[in-house]
Amino acid sequence: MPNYRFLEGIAVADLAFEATGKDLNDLFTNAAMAMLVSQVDVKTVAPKVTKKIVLENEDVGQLLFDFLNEIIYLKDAEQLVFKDVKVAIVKNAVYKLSASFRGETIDPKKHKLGNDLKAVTMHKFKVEQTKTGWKCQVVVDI
Amino acid sequence: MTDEGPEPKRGSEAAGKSSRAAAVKIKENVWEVPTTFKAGMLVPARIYASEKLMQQMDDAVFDQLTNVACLPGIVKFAHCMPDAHSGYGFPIGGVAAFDPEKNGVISPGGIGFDINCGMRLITTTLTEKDVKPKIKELVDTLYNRVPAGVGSKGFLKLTSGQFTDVMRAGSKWCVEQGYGWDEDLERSEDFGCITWANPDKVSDRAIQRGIAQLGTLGSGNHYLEVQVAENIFDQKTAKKFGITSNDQICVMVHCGSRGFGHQVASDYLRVFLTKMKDYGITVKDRELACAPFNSKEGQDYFQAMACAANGAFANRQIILHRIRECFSKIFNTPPEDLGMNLVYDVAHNIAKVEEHKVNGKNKKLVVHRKGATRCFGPGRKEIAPIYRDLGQPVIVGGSMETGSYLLLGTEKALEETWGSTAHGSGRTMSRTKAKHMVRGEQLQKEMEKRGIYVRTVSYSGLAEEAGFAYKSISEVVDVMHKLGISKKVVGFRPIGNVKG
Repeated sequence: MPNYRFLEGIAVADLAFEATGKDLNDLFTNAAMAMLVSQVDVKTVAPKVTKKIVLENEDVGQLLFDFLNEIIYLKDAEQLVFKDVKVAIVKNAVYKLSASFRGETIDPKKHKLGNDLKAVTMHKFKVEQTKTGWKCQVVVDI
Repeated sequence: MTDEGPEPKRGSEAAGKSSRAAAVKIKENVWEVPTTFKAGMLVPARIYASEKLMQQMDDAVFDQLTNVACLPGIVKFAHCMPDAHSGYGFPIGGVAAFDPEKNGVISPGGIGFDINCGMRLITTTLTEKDVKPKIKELVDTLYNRVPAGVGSKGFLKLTSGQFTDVMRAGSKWCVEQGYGWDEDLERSEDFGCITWANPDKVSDRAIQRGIAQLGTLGSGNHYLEVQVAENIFDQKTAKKFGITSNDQICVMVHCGSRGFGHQVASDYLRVFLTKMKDYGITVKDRELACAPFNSKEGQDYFQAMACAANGAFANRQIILHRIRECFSKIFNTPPEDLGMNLVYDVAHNIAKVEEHKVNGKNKKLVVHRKGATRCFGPGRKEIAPIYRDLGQPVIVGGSMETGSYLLLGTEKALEETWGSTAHGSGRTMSRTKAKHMVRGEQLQKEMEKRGIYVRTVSYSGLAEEAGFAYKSISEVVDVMHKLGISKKVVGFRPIGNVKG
């Protein structure tokens, strides 16, 4: 079972999801997967290209916000969709994230495409620590 | 990250009353939530809706609208159109005007991520009889020439210098390059080119997201539709707009500024979130982040927003050019001989500085329309001479199953809503829920049986746009018609659709 679920009652016209993770790496990976599967059936995507990104922020919420927006940026600027992602976050003075996405150039003939995501919003955006790890709630404009 | 500022509740909100329950019926189709409802409300919230449409709006509409009523410099009312549903910050269907002389603000949340999302309507001299036998071939050709869906690229390869020209000149650039006719420009809000656009205020990331996307539809609720002008309500006006018979084929397009505009909005949302405190502004929702219109950040955003708006005008202009090419190919006739005139291009996600009467005096206000269409009455200088004596044409798109309308702006709209009306039918059901109720492939077959041939890149996306997920468009336009805010001119029925 994936550690994300899509929510019905939060955003009438858009995409809302909740993701959980035992640690931050896990949370970020699961939140990213919720976005990736809304764009495309990930089973139809081959891992032909690896895209590495590095981000840092003192605020973990802002870090997640920027990280998820990168998926949207790479879709439009480089026409890439992804199959999966590996995330590593370390915290010293600030949170430092490095992630590598695997995927390929969008091909409507090959990929079963879903929604063209426009922007991660601050609407009801939440990142919180729970008894068992971390949880976030995200609304994405479609 | 700071959350919404905690503020002591007072009045009826403190007593546990919901914002919906606080709405009082003022007269038929008009409701108000008084300023006593929520701490910080500077003006009442005013909703235009029938009883049924009121019930169909989700609760968050009323919360969001009463939050808008708290923004600095807001004048008279926070307005809400009958097709409203909840959005971010402002509801979709929200209209608000701010007085720059009274610290009035500009807020990306009052415009939307898809800056200058809008509609175009094109006439033809073809009839349903001419087109029906070729509808599949026509829609398939349109589907191939107007790319849609996730991260789709257009056929134009632009240099960064050319993209800068697009940011500055919008549709005007397209026509200069041969993608359109001179007369297309006067048949558009702002003549298809907002003059205060300043590309220096736009990030490289926004340009990178947009540079390959000119002439693409996008996804979500965006579409290109072949329609029949089925109901002509006002023969005289319809004729002036080029629609003369109730079997005439027209084409409607709904799309916006694509990744370019979305990134401009995202960039400035972040700027405003950090800068607001310097201006002593607190808001009830982070998506209402704003800055005084007369501030550096306010002006920067206004100029960047104009670049995105010009990008959207250009996008729709290129699409218009492709539509003319496709019809010309299928019917083996030049588009001029097919009467493929643009009726109008309207922007329904935008902020503009406009002159309006406040307490009998003319004032320059920053009018935000988010999921609402400008509908100026006759005589306004913003409308090109060809339509100035009539009023502004207003294009209201329904769901892909239910039909659409051409309306006319009125003097009454200027008095009531800063010259604004509805923009569509407005969702009532979440995308996730709609997808659970029907499969895209099944919906496509059912629609074909009912005489609507649809092509889509995304079947799940098609299911999300099913007609049952929307309010009744007729009910929406009837409310504004009865109030005299926008008058019905023509009703359209879809026969072919390229779904984004």
